[in-house]
Amino acid sequence: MSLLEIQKLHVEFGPAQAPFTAVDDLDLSIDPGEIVGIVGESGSGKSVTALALMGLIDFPGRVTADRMAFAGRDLLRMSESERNGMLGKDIAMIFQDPMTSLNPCFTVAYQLIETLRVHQGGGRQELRDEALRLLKQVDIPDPDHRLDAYPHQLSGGMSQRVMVAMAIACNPRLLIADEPTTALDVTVQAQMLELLLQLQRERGMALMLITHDLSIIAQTAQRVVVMYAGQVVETGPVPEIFKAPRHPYTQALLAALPEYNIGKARLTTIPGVVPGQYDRPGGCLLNPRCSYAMDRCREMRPALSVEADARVRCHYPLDGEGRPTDRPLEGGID
Amino acid sequence: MGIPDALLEARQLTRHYPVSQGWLKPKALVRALDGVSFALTPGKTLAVVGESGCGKSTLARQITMIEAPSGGELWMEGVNLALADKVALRQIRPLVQMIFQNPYASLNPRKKVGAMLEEPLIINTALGKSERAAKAHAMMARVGLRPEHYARYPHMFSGGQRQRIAIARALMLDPKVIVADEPVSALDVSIQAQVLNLLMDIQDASGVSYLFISHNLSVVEHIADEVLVMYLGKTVEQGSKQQIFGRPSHPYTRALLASTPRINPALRQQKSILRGELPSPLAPPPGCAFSNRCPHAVERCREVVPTLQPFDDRLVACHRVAELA
Repeated sequence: MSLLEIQKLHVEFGPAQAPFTAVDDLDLSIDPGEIVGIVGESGSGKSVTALALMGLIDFPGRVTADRMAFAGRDLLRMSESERNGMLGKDIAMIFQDPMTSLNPCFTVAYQLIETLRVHQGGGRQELRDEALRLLKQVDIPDPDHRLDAYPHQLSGGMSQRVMVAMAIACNPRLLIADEPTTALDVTVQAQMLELLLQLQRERGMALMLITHDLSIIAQTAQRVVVMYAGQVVETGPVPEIFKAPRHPYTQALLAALPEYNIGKARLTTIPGVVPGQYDRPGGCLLNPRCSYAMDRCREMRPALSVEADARVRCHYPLDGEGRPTDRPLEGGID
Repeated sequence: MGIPDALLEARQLTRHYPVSQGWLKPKALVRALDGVSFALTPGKTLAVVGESGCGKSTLARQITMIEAPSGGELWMEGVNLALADKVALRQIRPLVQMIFQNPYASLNPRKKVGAMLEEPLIINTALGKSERAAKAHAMMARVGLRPEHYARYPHMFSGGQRQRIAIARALMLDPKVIVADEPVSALDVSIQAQVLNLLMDIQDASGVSYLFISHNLSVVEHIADEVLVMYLGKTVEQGSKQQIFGRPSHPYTRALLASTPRINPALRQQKSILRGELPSPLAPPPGCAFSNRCPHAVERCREVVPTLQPFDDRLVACHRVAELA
């Protein structure tokens, strides 16, 4: 049984008559111990998905789903206090900017112990020893010293390690990392990813890695979910999806990377930008930016078609050679 | 003068900052930039790479004449900017412009695009109102903005469009050198490609020279002609892009390349993840600054500071470069 199961998640903001759909009809399941990468440009709904899962979308945002279950327990139907008991314990999250995620007014020890006290409890010295053990586990040099440091005394990489220590404090079964390395240098990024993978292996926890960097996903994840304008456009196992992407958007994202343009004078680009609240096109959301768009793409919105272990939301999915199919998929209309 | 067709030449450029350690304690010295030499030639791009705190931004502050260097020479237009007076600096400053990292922070939210583009002209030229507007419109067309954007505010634009505005603003005075400090790191992949192509188109058309500061090596590999790798204020390796990316010599350059994530498993390099972080610039290790993180460090590295030496058609500062090659 999968650890996390989400069916038809919708997140809306704004007035009920003319809502802005930030996440549209999202299905996602994560198995225990699995590493799933979620990738997409800004505004594609990656972070909102994670926030909805954590129950951090406040009024006037609206979260609806057919099913949102963690380890068989329905997250939408449980009480506030029940859900709070789960957050930070069974599901933990690391945010993008470590410098602003830690409270500048309290020491590292205080913030680490707070998490432990809420979920586990224990004596003063016992909790402090546990906090020290956690700092050692995330490879912080000189951990005794760092326990009583304030966040401004730590570097970016060190702060992110403290965030990881807080996240793993209660042995979560699912760790959500939202752009965990975007604010860090490449060398520190490599250390951070190695640490996350090592913890994931040791503890057998599932990891949901949200990033806009496809190369990070290629190196760490087992399965990838590509999002565009609030919808899942393609999912599939790594590395197959990078060798032969089925959706034109995945193909275009890869083609825009400098790595795919070595020796060329100019980079391949995707024209335009992700549509915002007021300029979502009819038909397939990608059609104004898609180089293969046909009349059918401009008129009808494609559904997510299911094949073996992959899914793709396209009328004319690409074949193994990177060319669109000649005939549209049967019944693939949303 | 050294290199004949150089637009700008830095020789042993140095910037030290005295910092207070507390009352009655002697002032400490941060060697943010410590003897860096390079030349910028027309139509070429020099990329400066390194981790945060290596002195990349201090270098940008010297080149753009925001600060005077505390040592070394900086030649442009036959003038040593390190010793130049206010009048000379005033004449040369328009020739060096800057593009910043975050287009959400570098544009004034209370100014319309037109006003932002015309401000450099008001300060530095005697052009009339209609001439300024005509120049601004021409520049907007050049960077791919539409004429109706002239009267809009920055909040009405996406990140990529804002970076286009920032690029247009930097080009208004026809500079010879543009310092681009991480110009694409705040942008999405698809937009990043558009902006990089624009920067390269502009260079082909106008022959402007870029000092391109970035920590993203795959972007640098695409846009640079020459690469300068910095560590704690010093150059550790300097050479053409083909040499640096083809056969990196300094252990730090190798570690940076190995840390860069790649899609293609064949391009991924043997894991040589660096331990630790950049040491404090207040107390750099004696000897080679990189010695405490270097997997190949020996006794000599911890005692003697390596000098930048020619090796294999490039410059490298490492005692063991010949052994490790």
